[in-house]
Amino acid sequence: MKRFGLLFFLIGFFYPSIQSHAVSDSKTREDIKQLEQRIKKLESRRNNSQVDNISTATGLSRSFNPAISLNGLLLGTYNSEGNDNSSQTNKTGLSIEEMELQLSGNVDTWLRVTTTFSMEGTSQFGLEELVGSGLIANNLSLQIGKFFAPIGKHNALHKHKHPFVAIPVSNEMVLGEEGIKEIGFGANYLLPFPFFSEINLQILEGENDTLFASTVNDGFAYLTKSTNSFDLSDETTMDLGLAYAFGDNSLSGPYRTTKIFATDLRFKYKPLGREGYRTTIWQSEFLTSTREQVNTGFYTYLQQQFAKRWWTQGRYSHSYQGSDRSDQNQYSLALSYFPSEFLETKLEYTHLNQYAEDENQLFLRLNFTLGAHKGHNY
Amino acid sequence: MKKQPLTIYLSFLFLFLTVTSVQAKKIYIVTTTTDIASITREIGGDFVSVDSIAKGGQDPHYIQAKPSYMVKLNRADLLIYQGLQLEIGWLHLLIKGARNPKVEPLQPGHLDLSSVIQPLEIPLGDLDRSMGHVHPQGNPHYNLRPSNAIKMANAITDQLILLDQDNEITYRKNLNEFVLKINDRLSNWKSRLNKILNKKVVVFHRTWIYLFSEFGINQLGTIEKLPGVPPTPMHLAKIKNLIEQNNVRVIIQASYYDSEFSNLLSEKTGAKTVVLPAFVGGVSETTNYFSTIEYIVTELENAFSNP
Repeated sequence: MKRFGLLFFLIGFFYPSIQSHAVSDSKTREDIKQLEQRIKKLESRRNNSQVDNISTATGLSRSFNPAISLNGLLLGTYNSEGNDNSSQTNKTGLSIEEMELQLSGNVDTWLRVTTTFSMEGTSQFGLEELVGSGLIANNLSLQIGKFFAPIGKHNALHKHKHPFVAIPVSNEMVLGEEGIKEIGFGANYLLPFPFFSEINLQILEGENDTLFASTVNDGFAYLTKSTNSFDLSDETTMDLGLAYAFGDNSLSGPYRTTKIFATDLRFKYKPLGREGYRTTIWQSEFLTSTREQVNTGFYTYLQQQFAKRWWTQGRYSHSYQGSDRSDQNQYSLALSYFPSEFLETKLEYTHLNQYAEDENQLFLRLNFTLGAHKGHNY
Repeated sequence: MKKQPLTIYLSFLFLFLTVTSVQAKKIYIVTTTTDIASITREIGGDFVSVDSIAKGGQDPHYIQAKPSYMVKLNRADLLIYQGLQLEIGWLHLLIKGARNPKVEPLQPGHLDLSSVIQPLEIPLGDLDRSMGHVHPQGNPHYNLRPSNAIKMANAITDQLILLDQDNEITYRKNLNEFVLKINDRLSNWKSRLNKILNKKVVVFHRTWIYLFSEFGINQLGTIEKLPGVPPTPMHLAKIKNLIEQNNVRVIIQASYYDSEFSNLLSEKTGAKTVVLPAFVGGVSETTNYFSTIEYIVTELENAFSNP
């Protein structure tokens, strides 16, 4: 028995060094296998036609160019208010609502950049978005540049992704007509939960005239957003978001800090298989900001796809600014037709009930995308 | 007998070291399609856990980039996808949202199976979207050719060995079994379909070209005017004439497409519409790659033999 005990002791004593030696051999074999794999891939790589077209002699190469896409929004509007008011946003007539040119690509192994230039009408050209993003570690990515702040769902969308032509009065009142687009940087972290849960922390320049625009040098704005998504079944998902932002504004005393709170809730039902062309989406959002007075608003909308290329949708939005005179109720109905995933025509009627005269608007919009294939909406 | 606690302790220590040296954790693999998932399970056996993002009855061109898929990919050791822009609308969003360095391009946990097959129907000349939903690098439905399944299995085996060398012997054994089975079944499938002389078909979408090239089936036309573009009345009339003039007895479409136009042509011409799974799970009877191709061959055999 003593001999057996000694044998076990020796094995146990030397096992780690045997293991590490095996690991070292194993690692070497692994390195060799990786090299063999890379050689195999290089040898079996097909001759891509684009490679043949590169002329390195002239220094011209298309291989490293960014992906380019162009989106256009052409709009026909009827406004019951007429065009007497020069500050009217939606005037009766035809317009180029917006054109967006997007360039995106990998700068190197570490950073991907997406830039969006926009032109409103035929003359107002500007930088809509410039975002650099990179994966830093497991679950953690950083973002820097100018981007749409993730306050609620609607504010984060480019105009051509808006489900309705008319902006919800809730967002217009609380966040301003242009929404919150800020220069800043931030991090987003995917929490290790069995469901999707992401925390987003951002430091923003605080330039939004409606909410921030502090006159103090270090007048940054700070934002935190929690985004959660739950699969209720293979066909139904629920998203829940909570956002809070604060920052100095141009006022003094007790009103110098603007605070914004937003929550969004969405249910999406998309059947599998052939019935996938019967998707239903119900989305609601509540926003409130405090800057000398409290601005509050919410919207709720329902979208129903009733055929492969057809959608219908309706929305109610309400905003309130501390007095009945500021109450606004907005009702919108729309019908959309998608001849392809790159083209949409939308017919929309919006009625605005407010203290001043009610407004009725009718829109016919053409929305097209040209160029690189973008990601599908979720 | 005297107690010998030191011996007992060392025995348990030895057992503990032995047990913990074994790879207890399975490799978690996420695939984009159910065919890839099925083949991966055949090769990986008990050492892998596999999830497919697309379900068998879904059109993989139009999968939603759901956040829950990002969570799956976040946990994955290996991502395997079909490529040739089949997943162009959604996979890059999932990779970005997953924030998992292991599955980023060029990493051992990232495998594009299209790199090991020879694509068919690579468009020539300049391309633009007036041609419909074209795939510039070739038709991506190569999974439907059993010969390609062998190439896919080989590539998956190599990648598994790269990630888990300890189980190389098992993976190679499983690969050999898979290849033997595929070759055996392929002989049977070919012999059954070779008996049929008139194998002319019309299809709804260009999903089946690899299957047809394997089994000598002659595709005369497509009901879609262009890929992804529904037929006009004039185009439908043209296809109707094509069916009648060439004695086409079979119209084929994938289970995830609406069969409105196929059924209309069936009514007008007497040709039979056959709805087939384009991927494992496309119909309830197809639970793995073998049963999927078996189902397809059986349905075609019956349709050609009993128009």
